[in-house]
Amino acid sequence: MKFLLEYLQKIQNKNGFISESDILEASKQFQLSPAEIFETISSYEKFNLWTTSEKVIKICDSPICHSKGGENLIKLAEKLLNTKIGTYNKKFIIESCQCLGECDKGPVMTINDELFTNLNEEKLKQIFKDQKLI
Amino acid sequence: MLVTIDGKKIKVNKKCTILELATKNGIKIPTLCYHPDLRSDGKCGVCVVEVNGKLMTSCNNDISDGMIIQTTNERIIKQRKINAQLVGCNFEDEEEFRKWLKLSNMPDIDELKFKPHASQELDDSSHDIVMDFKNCVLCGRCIQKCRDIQTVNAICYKGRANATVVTKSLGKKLIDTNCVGCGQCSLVCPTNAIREKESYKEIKKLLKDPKKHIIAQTAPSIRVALGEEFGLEAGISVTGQMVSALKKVGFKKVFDTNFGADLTIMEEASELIERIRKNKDLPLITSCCPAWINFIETFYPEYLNHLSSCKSPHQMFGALIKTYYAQKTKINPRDIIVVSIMPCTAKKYESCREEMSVGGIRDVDFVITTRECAKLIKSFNIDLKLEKKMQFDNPMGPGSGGGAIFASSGGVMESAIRTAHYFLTGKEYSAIDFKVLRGNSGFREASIKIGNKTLNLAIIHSLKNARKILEILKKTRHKYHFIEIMACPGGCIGGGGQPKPTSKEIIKKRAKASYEEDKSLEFRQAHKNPNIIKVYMEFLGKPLGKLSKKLLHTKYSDKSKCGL
Ligand code: FES
Ligand code: FES
Repeated sequence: MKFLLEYLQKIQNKNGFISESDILEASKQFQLSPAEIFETISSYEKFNLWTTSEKVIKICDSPICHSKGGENLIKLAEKLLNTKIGTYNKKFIIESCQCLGECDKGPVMTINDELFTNLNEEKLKQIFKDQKLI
Repeated sequence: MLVTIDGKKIKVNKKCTILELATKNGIKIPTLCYHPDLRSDGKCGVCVVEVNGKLMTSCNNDISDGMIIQTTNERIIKQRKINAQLVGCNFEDEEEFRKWLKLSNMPDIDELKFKPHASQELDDSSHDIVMDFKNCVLCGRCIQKCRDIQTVNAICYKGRANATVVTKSLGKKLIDTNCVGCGQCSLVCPTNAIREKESYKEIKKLLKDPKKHIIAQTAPSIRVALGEEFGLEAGISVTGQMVSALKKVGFKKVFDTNFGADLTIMEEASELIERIRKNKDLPLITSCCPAWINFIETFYPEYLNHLSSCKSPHQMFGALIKTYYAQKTKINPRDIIVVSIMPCTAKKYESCREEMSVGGIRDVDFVITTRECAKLIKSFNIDLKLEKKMQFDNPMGPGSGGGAIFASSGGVMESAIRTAHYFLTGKEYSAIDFKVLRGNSGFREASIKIGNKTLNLAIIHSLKNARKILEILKKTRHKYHFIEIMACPGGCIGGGGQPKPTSKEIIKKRAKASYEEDKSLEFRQAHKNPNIIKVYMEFLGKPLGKLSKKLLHTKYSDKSKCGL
């Protein structure tokens, strides 16, 4: 394959995340260091790095979502799940993320690649319940 | 080209950046992320100036004909302040931030109004380096060094937009990455977010213990750099003052690692001759540089047989102190503490290696960098400049000039050839200054005739060049007979533990000082140093003899972490 992004996307689509060994393999194929591949992956929110958690929750914290109420949502999510942003356990990992390109429908978040838009406190609670997170 | 800068018309023939032009004309522009040896990415934006009325960073924009440049006015200063506040938002300690701004020629800012955007845990997992990114300003110099100059890629960026941070490869702990400990990142870090793992405070405590016999040994490259930490210009040798200051600090003895370097030469020259005679494991590659050793062990373990089995000079010396010196002075080696003052961060890990001890007694107990040494001296309120000159301690005595030039790239090779020539032919090489072996390029080749044999040599510094030569070896293993490799640009005088700032210009000045030191010494070849002859006579026997092998040589092992 010629393009790194295309290559990574294939893996992401197949497994839902990119593992350490995927990075090493890509590093061989593209003659880049693992650090550089890691750097690339980390700057695209659509990619998930390897994780042992079942659910990857990403809440957008870029300016538009942030000013549309995303800031409070992050705080609420922390309270509901009783964790801090950036922490993970077996069940879930919760992260804030950069713009997902859905600003008009902000604030937004994703759970395992599924997009949730126009969030508010009520909606967030409901989603967490549906996803059996609380 | 005609350029107007602050109202002055200037004719320029050669292309250069706005910053370079200003500096040449005595105009000071503040900079934070700019480093003379590295590519300017224009990251911090504090070097903005007005070009034809538009704001523009000066460190990464070239001049062009007819440019009208304004380097300061109200608008520019306002913008500089905002930019400085933005890059400084991660600083925890406001005082420190202000101190740092002052160092960079910046006007003081009023308040730090931006919140930190990302936080990371302090990482002190490595033996050599501490990464504490709370003071990181994202200048990216460390990543450039690690990626482009050392090709190690242990650190990288993570994330995008205002979530960007500098972190370790794959977000791991530093010890689990490929970091070789060269410390070049710490040398260019403007804010000490990356720094050496300090141990001088521990030494300060031990110095108070009357039962301990604490010995300092200083590397050849310390004396030509330490002065800079005390405000002296680069390239001034402070050997005598350094010895006296260390004595005042409380070290019982101060020894010269040059002596260890002489030992290394005796052993390594003998090794070279033996390998040439047997035509085995050629080329011989030097092993003085611990970051290089880490590099080959992690990235090219298949070439380990080419490495010289010699320990590095300070380790050899440490081993002798704990045996020969201990016997002579009737001091229990367990009460002796050897502190090596080195230009290097990687030597910290080297001294902890299991192979670097004999009978459970470590050759060297502590390694501190040039910067730490200055801190230690300063903490006793000693000003190095005012010290009177003192001689190194005997009986192990001073080293030869051959040891002194270990400091710069090419030095090990030059000294080894001086001695190998004598061993092989019984005569001294006529041109003591092997001019062909000196220079600044990171990849130098030369051929030298010894007797009727021509030796092909290569001298390498910076790990990217080390990678280059190993790739050459992959194709033609037998092109060279002897290769010297140093991990840091310029060799030890540009080491990761040296005073900041270090740049190519400064390295040149330090190198000059160390070659002058060589010329000023009575004995310029290791094999002529009477102290060395004595140690072999009284204690070691002969080079590569049984005792030498036990005390002065080591082994290497494959440490590749599956290519991480
Ligand atoms: S700012 Fe949230 S999707 Fe763009
Ligand atoms: S010094 Fe020019 S952008 Fe930082």
